[in-house]
Amino acid sequence: MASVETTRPETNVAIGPGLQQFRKNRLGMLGAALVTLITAIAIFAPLMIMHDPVRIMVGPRLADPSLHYLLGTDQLGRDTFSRIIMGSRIPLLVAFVSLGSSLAVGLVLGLIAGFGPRWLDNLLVLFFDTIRSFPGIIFALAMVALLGPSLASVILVIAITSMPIYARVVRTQTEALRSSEYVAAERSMGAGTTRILAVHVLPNVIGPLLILVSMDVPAVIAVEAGLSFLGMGVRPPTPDWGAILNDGFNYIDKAPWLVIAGGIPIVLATLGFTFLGEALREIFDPKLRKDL
Amino acid sequence: MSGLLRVQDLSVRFRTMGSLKALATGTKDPYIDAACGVSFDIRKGETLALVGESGSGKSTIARTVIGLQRATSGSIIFDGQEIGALSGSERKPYLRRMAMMFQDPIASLSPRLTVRSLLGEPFRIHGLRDIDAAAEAARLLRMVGLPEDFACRYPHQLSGGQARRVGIARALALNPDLLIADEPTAGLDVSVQGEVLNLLARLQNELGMAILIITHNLNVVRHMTDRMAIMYLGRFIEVGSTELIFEHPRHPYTQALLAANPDPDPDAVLNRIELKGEVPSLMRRPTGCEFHTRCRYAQDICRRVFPDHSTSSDHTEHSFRCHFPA
Amino acid sequence: MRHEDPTSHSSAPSPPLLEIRGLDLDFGTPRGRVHALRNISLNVPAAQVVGIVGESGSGKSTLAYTVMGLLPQNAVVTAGNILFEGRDLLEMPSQTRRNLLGNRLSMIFQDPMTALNPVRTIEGQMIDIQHHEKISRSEKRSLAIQMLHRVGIPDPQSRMGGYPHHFSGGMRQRICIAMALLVKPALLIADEPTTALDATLEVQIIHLLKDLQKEIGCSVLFVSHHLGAVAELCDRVAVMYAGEVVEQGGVRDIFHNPAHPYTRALLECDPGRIRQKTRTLPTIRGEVPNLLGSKEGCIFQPRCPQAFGRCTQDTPIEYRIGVEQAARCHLLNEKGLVSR
Ligand SMILES: Nc1ncnc2c1ncn2[C@@H]1O[C@H](COP(=O)(O)OP(=O)(O)OP(=O)(O)O)[C@@H](O)[C@H]1O
Ligand SMILES: Nc1ncnc2c1ncn2[C@@H]1O[C@H](COP(=O)(O)OP(=O)(O)OP(=O)(O)O)[C@@H](O)[C@H]1O
Ligand SMILES: [Mg+2]
Ligand SMILES: [Mg+2]
Repeated sequence: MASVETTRPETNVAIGPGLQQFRKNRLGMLGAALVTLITAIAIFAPLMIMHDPVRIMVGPRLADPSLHYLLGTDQLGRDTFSRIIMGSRIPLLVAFVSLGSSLAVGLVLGLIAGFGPRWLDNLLVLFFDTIRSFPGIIFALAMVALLGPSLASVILVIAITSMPIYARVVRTQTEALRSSEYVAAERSMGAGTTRILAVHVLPNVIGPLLILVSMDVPAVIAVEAGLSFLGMGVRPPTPDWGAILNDGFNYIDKAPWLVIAGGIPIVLATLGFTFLGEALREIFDPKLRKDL
Repeated sequence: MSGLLRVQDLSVRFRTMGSLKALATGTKDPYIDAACGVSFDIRKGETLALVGESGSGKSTIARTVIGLQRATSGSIIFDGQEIGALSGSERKPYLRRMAMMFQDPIASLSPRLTVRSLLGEPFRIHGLRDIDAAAEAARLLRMVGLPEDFACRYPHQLSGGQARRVGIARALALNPDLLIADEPTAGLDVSVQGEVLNLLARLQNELGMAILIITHNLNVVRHMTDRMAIMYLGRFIEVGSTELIFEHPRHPYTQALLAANPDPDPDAVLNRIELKGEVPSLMRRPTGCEFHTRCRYAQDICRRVFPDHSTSSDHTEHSFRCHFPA
Repeated sequence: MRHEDPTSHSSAPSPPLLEIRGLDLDFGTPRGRVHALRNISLNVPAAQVVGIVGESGSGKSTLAYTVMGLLPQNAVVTAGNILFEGRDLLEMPSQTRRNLLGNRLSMIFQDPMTALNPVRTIEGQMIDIQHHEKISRSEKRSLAIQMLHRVGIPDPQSRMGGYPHHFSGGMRQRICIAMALLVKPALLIADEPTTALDATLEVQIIHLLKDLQKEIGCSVLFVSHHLGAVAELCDRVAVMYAGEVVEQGGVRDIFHNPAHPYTRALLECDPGRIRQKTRTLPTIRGEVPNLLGSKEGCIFQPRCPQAFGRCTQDTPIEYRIGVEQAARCHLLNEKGLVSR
């Protein structure tokens, strides 16, 4: 029995046992598989398509699914399958870049607010709340008016509006940890602020944050689709799930597969990221492990 | 033997409410003095006990000595160096030579680290990279009587007493010159308590470690310590050799404290000294002798005049603050 | 004398408030299952104080958590029943069970800092705990102040707006005690409630528990390492070692006539009994057994000075000694006592 333990590498924040537990979590594994699959599709999309996704009239308009057009064609005669595959790139790019940057900024600002001096905390909280108090749509419209409709403005809008939420969560958690006895104990051993933040605060904060982020990914995909629909995101003919779904709604009676084909990837991505988020919670919280 | 730690006139003041609330409730002085002009020294190889009412400022003194709390005034001299005003990085070399175990056993262990990582913390913090963390953890666990397979447990998987022992092991990891032990035996059964205290006594013999022990367990004080200081409302009211004080307590509060110790016999006839009244609030300290509100010998002078330290005629090291010592 | 009327409770055979029968509990760990509770049977009669003493890590808190239904994720109850007011807690729907908490059942936790919410004021937490009560917020507040007063927190009105880390260790513990008492439970589980209190306050709290116990007629399960406090407060005592109740009985039986070698060893180690000053305190020789895997024989046998052949093979059953006392030790059978 002892040998099992000694071969385990010494990790400071021991999430090793958490990973083992994760393997036993079926939904988590499913989520991870879905997320990997969708990410892989997005990365290798150009290798997988059968037709040029933006060329008009590669086939007849609104053709039924067939061997040649796996998911039929749309009102402009474009191949839906190729558009779905290529269409995965934009939403994922937007989600990763926007949420990634807002995660990074939110984490740093939240840690500073929670661990720094009181006046800085008050200042930062005021800043977060100011951003949050803008109505999202108006803010988005203002950004688009300022920067013009483009992918960059979509990313910026999402990053800026979600950052204060993350920063708030980090700040609240950090604040609670700051007065905890174990942070005091670490200080008494001579640990500096950087070490305390990295080894003792971050692992407590990053878990809830990653869960939050992975649950936000589906929302971002939807927002991106909505903005595209309003003509404020990607412009046609760039393939994009949201755009395909919206196109499909106009022809739902003649070609129902368009809606289905556009909707299913969004549903799968949503489920995948949600399951993954739930499972991450267990990795980061040893108290939720069963080991039975 | 030379003085290792010398604390002089230490005062620590806390704010109890924000200025707005103080204004709203009409509190003129929203501060409390958790420690008030405390002086003591500990020599190498010596054990000093800090006892007294809950909330009398014992942990505050310990936390101030180790630097978790800034002193409002007074000086803390460790091995000839004033350390009270040092910044974090300047203090670090001294923290290698001092260690503290905390009052709350489970809450003072970082919840996401395994016991092995927790025990490795002192080594990592002080950059001792060439140490075999697993072997050290095993050695420390053995030292405090825990099975070695506890290394892979998390704090929430330990019982209170086991967590306490992990805290003790961690404090002893670097063989400190000064050990500050806040309630080291609370939550341990008497046998384990004996083992831990015997371990401390052995290390003290071998390494000449000085120990500042804060405890409510008077039996521990009696058997383990050389000198003791009794605190009341943030002040030392009696200091002296443990033996003398147990034999002949001079301050009425000390007498009541020593008499309260429950006896492990259901039929024991106890002659307790009832303390009348309540613990006064630190926000409204009594005038004169601060103990007069609860003292059965209180006279008029006690209500007016704050008693100075007086020493016992035959033992100059034994001092107490009382107008009418026993 | 501590007990005014020692015979008052032994006569009435009313059903116990809490009855634990044959309880087994395992913890899952990466190394395998830890058998943390084995075959625990324990009664808490109505309006009595039952003490639990014993080795650190013997499962006292685990037993308390099991009764409260607050076990960690990696715990499983593998056998047994817990009857509270005649109903089995383990069979109860979780909603019904949760409604008992903070109402009929309340607990003082061993580690006050982990029991209190670090980012809420004491005032808020003490008002919240009374959510079962149908009274106004200001009434709840004044009840909270009264209770803080009774546990000896000076100046509660102005201090209760503070956060837990603004209080000393013993004050936090007393705040927890006050919170548990505010709900006027039928059964109060107090897990080492006085570890951070000085002797005078400990006595005060013990008297408070006694008074309240008479006032509201509740029972108390009092876990402690402080044998003096147990002797003073409890009517009955159970002694635990390595996940088993090795002996239980009336408080006098346990302190004056311990039947199990572990109980005797424990009492002999109490420094409170050693009148002569000594630097080396007595301990029980040997090591605490590992609870992984299954064990043969008596759990205390490796450390027992009186162990003999049979102890390594058979797990001892509970032998009765007198009306109230029972212990798990083969020596009792050798002495010709009747086993039940
Ligand atoms: N950070 C703080 N802010 C405000 N008041 C504080 C703070 N820390 C401690 N106090 C107060 O200082 C006083 C002394 O606390 P301290 O923790 O030193 O007591 P103690 O002697 O260790 O008591 P115990 O035996 O109960 O642990 C208490 O009244 C406490 O409420
Ligand atoms: N979540 C857990 N996972 C694995 N083992 C656990 C867990 N919680 C407790 N244990 C183990 O179960 C045993 C009983 O623990 P428990 O906390 O009940 O002891 P205790 O009698 O309350 O001790 P103490 O007096 O030290 O508080 C201990 O050996 C402990 O290490
Ligand atoms: Mg303290
Ligand atoms: Mg316990």
